[in-house]
Amino acid sequence: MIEDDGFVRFLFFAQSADGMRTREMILPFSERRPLSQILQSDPRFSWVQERQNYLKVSINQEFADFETEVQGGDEVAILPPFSGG
Amino acid sequence: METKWRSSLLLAEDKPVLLTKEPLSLGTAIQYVSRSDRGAIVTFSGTVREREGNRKIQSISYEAYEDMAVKRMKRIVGLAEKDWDVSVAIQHCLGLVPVQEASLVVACAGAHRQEAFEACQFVVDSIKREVPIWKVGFEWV
Repeated sequence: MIEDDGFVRFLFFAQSADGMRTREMILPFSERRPLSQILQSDPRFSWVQERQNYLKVSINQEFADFETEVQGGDEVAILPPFSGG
Repeated sequence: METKWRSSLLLAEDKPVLLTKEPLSLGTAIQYVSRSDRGAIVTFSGTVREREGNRKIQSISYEAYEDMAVKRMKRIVGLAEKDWDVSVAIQHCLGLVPVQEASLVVACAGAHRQEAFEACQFVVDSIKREVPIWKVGFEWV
């Protein structure tokens, strides 16, 4: 989580960092709502939007889904399929 | 270089889970899980293959969502310890890992071989499935 609950922090890794062309975005938080709504309302997330069936998501380092509600201070990570090991 | 390597070994000795840019140490993982009541130690080393598809490579680069990866690996260790009564150590590399070097090391120690084998399989499968680590690049030959 981030300390200032007026913001939501988005993290991108591996392919999602390449696709989004950034590793981090910090957005002002206005109201509690599902992640999918936040993504829909911001064209910068179109890369993620188009790949929701393929990507996983975590909120505050716990697995979540695109319908999980996001609130101020949350850390949201967009996770491509894992390939460790 | 030598100093760094030593410090990573020390870290591995007192933690069940290690993410490191230094070479992994199966010996340290074994040392971590060894106990006088453990009669079986099963280990797994995942090493980098020389080919990716049809092309030869020199190394693979790994990246992780480090905080979450450590959290997930600790959870996996906890589940294995509870379900099979074993001791578990996991090490995973970050950054460049050359061909034939280990990117993942797991050691599971149980009273008997059956639980150690089963727990080791569970731990490796769980890491592959639920730990946010990625191959992010290849150095081609």
